Amino acid sequence: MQIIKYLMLVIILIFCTYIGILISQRYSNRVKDLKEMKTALNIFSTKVKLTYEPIPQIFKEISKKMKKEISDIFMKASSNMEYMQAGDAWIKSLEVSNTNMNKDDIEVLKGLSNLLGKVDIEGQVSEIELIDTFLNSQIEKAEEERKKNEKMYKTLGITVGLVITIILF
Amino acid sequence: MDINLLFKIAAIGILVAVLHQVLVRAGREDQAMMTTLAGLVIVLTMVIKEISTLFETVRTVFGL
Repeated sequence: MQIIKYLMLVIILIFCTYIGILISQRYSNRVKDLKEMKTALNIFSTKVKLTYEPIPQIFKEISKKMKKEISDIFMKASSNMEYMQAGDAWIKSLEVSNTNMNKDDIEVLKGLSNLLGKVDIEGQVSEIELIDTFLNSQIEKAEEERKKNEKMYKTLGITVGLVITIILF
Repeated sequence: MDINLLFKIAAIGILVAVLHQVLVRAGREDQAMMTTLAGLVIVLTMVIKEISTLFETVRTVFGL
């Protein structure tokens, strides 16, 4: 009987610590995702400037180089473009995506869709540069938030777990 | 009145102090205040049985 009680207390402690770590990882993942998206858009702008490949093909190549979730976005966008316009395909694949970015970040990325595949190369490149600047400022803000919150939520998780354990001891 | 109760209250006190400091340093003063108050309430509920025993004893000692 005592052993089961102690086991439950240990489980509660581990559970609370885990929840704290999960929440703290959300902040660090957002920073990572924003940086990856920036790299991906840079690759896109370079390829659009220098080669004359069609957009779905560029997206496929980008998705091979990027890591999981961002790569999924580009892969889905590229496959969506087979039956809809480039802009709509981009919007749709952003909506079903599963990244850690904020709603604001995704809204601005959707703004890319207006010019994708419609205007000429310089227009697209300058639009991408605009979004690059925006992503830079978002990355700075996300870094600040991460510094403030990451450690706090980890400590919070452990301490709350300990408090609950001691109350029920 | 066993010694375990005392240890529990001491441990909760230390942990609430740690939580308070962490939240104040992170800038969330109102939440820090809330958790301190919550810790206080929790310790009071743990102790209330002893307080009632104390009042009973006082009543019997003074014959009131």
